[in-house]
Formats: sequence, C-alpha cells, structure tokens
Amino acid sequence: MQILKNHGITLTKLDEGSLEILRNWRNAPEISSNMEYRGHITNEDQSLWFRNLCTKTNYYFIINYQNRKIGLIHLNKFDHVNSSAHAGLFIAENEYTGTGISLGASLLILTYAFDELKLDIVYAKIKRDNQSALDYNIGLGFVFEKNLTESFSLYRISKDNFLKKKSLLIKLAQVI
Amino acid sequence: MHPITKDSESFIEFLSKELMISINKVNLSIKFRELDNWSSLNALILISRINEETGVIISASDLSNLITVDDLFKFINKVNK
Repeated sequence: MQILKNHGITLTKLDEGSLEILRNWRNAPEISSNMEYRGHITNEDQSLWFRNLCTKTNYYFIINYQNRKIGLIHLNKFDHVNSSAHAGLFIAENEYTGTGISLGASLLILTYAFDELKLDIVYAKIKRDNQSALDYNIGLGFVFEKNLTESFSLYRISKDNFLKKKSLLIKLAQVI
Repeated sequence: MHPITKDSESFIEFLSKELMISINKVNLSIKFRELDNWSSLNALILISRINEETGVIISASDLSNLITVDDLFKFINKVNK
C-alpha cells in the first residue's frame, strides 16, 4: 500500500524523494515549536532516521492536495499487544493551514488505522499550549488520557468513538 | 442578499457567533486563521454554515487564497452575485 486517497486528499508513502522537503518543513520554527524535539535536523540525521524506519512500520505519508505536497501525517509507536499506535500530523504550507485539509488527511489515516490495520486505539501526543491542535483533536473525537510531560499530554480515540463521529466528519470533508 | 452578507457588520456578527468568540475580537482586517477557535475542523463547520446561509461553497483551495476576514466576506459576495 503506497497511496491513500479520498476527500480530495492523496496520502503518498514517504520516500527518499520527499526527505528534503520534509526536513525543511520540520526545521521551520512554526512546525518545530510544537514538537517535542526542537533541535535542528541535519541531512545526516534525516537519512539515518529514514534508514531506521522499518519497512513494516513506515506509515509516514506526505499529504498532497491538488498535486502539491503540503504536509505530513503518520502512524508510529505500534503496540501489537494493545492494538494501538500513535498518530501525528502537520500542515507545513501556511496557506493550507486552517482550511479543512487536515480533516481529510485525518479521516484517511484513522480509517486506515482502524479498518485496514485493525487497531483498537490511536493516540495523539499534543503540546498543551497548542490550543488549535487540542480543539481539532477533541473535535475528531480524541479524549484526554494523561499528561506525559510538563508540556505534552496524551489523547486517545477508540475505534468505536471514531465510528460514532465518522459520518459527520465525512459530511464536513465533502467541501474540501 | 442573504442576512449574513448584507453588510460587513452582519458578517462579523455571524463569524463571532459561529466561532463562539467575542465580537470585539473580529474585524475585517484580521487574518481569519488567527481568530480564536479557528481550526481545520471549525473551518469546515463554518464553511458548511456559510453554505447553508448563502448557498456559496468555499473549497479548501479557495480558502487557501484568502487571508483576512474581509477577503472572505468579499469572496462570498462575489460568488453570490
């Protein structure tokens, strides 16, 4: 599986050809400021990280809208005992933030996580002062799980909770 | 002309009500992405409400080309003509 497509959004599996744009996005202050690791990522760091991504657990996808790469969404930290994983997302191209594209991408990855990967729970680690991310994830159906650090909290969404909200979210995503 | 787009004051009132923020925090020159409670999800809820009120459909692509509340107001009125 290399491509997920719906709601006007295409998610393409991260490959070497997108590593440099991803590195530039990730090093931008408006993105790194909401991440746990905020140091500068070098070309070598990025290559090493990508090489260490196991093929079986590379669920990092570039978000494409109208043939333009605009952000990243991923699943990682798979826990096969508890059938869970962690999700993350950012829109890097400023003009597309707050336009609804995140919802299309989130619908794709959560549907994939629950329907294809058969997960029961997806977690999201969110910086507590990132109010728009908190509001967004709560709107999707995530609920507070616990505080992780001084700055970050863990939220979770179960398959059942997602299914309860999915039809409403799909209806909203129709205008993307 | 629909009630929410008859003038800029009505549109500002509509935005503040839909986003559940004080009307004092909304003006024509403000960048709508910087409004309190603006998020990807709330943007779509707002777009749905604008569609209900005016019949205008705003896509993510349209929204990406708009910056201020005034841009949004003018876009809706332009499409709605």
